[in-house]
Amino acid sequence: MEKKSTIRNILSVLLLVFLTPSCSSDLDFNQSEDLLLTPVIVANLTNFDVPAPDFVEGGVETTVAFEVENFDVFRDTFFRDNLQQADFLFVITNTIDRDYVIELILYDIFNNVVDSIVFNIPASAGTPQVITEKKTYQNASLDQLKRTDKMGFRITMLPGTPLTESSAGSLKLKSSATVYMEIE
Amino acid sequence: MKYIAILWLTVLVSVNMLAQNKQILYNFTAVPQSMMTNPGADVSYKFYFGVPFLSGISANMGSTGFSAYDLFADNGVDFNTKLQSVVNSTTNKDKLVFNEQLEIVTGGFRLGERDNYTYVSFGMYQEIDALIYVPKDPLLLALNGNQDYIGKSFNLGDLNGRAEAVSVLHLGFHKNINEKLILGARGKIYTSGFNATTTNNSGYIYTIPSNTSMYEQVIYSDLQAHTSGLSNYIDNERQFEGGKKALQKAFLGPDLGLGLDLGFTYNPKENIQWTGSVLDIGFISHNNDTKIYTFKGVYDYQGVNPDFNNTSGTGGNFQDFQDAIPLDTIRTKYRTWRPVKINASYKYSFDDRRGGGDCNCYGDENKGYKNGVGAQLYMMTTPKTPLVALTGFYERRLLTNLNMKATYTVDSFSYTNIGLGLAGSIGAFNMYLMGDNLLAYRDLSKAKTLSLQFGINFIFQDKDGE
Repeated sequence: MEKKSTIRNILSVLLLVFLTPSCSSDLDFNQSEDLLLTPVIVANLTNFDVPAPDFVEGGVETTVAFEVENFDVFRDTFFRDNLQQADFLFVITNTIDRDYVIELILYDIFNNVVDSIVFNIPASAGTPQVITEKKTYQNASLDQLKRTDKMGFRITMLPGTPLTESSAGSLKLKSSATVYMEIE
Repeated sequence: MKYIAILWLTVLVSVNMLAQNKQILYNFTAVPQSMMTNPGADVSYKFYFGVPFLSGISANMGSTGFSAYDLFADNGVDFNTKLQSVVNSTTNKDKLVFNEQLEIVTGGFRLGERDNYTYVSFGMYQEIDALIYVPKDPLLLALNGNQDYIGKSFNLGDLNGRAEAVSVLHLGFHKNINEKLILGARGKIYTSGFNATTTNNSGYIYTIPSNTSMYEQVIYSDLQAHTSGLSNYIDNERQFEGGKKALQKAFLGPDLGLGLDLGFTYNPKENIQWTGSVLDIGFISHNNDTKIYTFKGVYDYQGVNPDFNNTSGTGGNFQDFQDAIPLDTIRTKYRTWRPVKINASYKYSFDDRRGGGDCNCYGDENKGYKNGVGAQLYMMTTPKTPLVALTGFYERRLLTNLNMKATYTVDSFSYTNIGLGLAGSIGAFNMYLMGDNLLAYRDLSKAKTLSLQFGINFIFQDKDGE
């Protein structure tokens, strides 16, 4: 008899534990499919600093400088596919007493010009000439930008007060890219 | 990205790592499985065996930083908003732990008489274990980018975690050295089905303003991950298909290891009891299908910069980056140490019922006392600071064959963890059920830690034990 009541007791306690009302708020694990990462990344784009004497070689002015660099970030498919917008910010400081034209030329892998950005820089008459410019690539222009494979730089020095190998000042360019990503 | 989401989900849903604190089971000698938490536990039934696959089922999980509700609540708030606030509210010390154990077979028997015996216990269990720290800085960077964090150094050392499946074959002995002292030891052979460990990482990424260029941007990376038994899934991006082979691997992996548990029970007075144990002092040698992935190097990103004096073009930044911080794969053996667990307890028993004809039929546990109160300490090594938990408990023999233990535990997961365990017997049939964090059952989705143990055994006492 005693055994029976023991059994009953054990069972009832176990049942009680099992049946203790437990609740849970509604969870929806499918929402992880809505995951959308939207990092905004800033990075250097390009920079140079050319001192005035570099425009003079053996007493003769070099009026055009040209250089092409590989620009291969768009070879990375992950980056290319998730890029939504790119802003380029340029800050150019001229402390040379000459006018300049700076051209930034973007080429695709077949050396076709994808885009070209031109800056007209006035001569510095004692005070630095600072030019700040921003360019935004979205939609069609962004698709165009994504074809970029090389970046060309052309500096043209316009006529003016002659420079010597001891002329003061420099032509300086700093730039950054702000890239807006959307990663699903 | 989808894979990352799946991985993340898996981690959240199924992973409760290495908490492994079995505060209710510990020293609850009415259950033979208490010997697995202390090989020197005061267990002296004539013999016992577990019902195969049903004798010990336990799972526990914990998260110090957030609950499933925080991330997956069906409340109309955008998932990304919830993810952002979870990341903002956690630190790199927050962790997710998961542990599952399944006893396959177990048994034990006493050699000698009750006052002078050696106890032999043995068995095999399978275990899956994972511990992942919240990679706070890499998550912040992935979610937000660096635009709003100029001047901040993102710590790549936040990437820290391990996961593994092992099977354990064990054989233990304990002996009552004298009336007051029981000493025990258990040898273990581990076989590992898979292992992934990435714990010794360091590195940083920062962006600060600069004079020559817009920014000074440096990535220093010293990351590595050791894996065994997983290369098929990682390198070939093969989905986990389960099946017989995977099952076989989980239960009897190809990598071997050795381990040792030690423990004691000491009764300086009849109603005072001290116990202690050190579990899983051991290692596993990973020799099969091992791979070490490294991501090491320094990259100082200046931009795409022309050099008008030198017309030869460079390889490009993407190429430079890959050259500076290459992803290397090495096939080499490695060894992992088991997380060591330490338990200690003090118990004071009262309400001697021996005069009342009642008997404690489960071991000699504190002789005929009906009640016991005490404290327990639990510690486990982790890749960072050890996990520590402090438990206060109350034990009571409710009926001749029904024992109860209630616990209150404080650890980094919860300050309100109340647990309850019951072990009952009908004849030789013994059943136990233990659960902790009972308060969380009001809303399970908000629970940050849960553990559950359940099992069925057959226990045979001496004839005079009844």
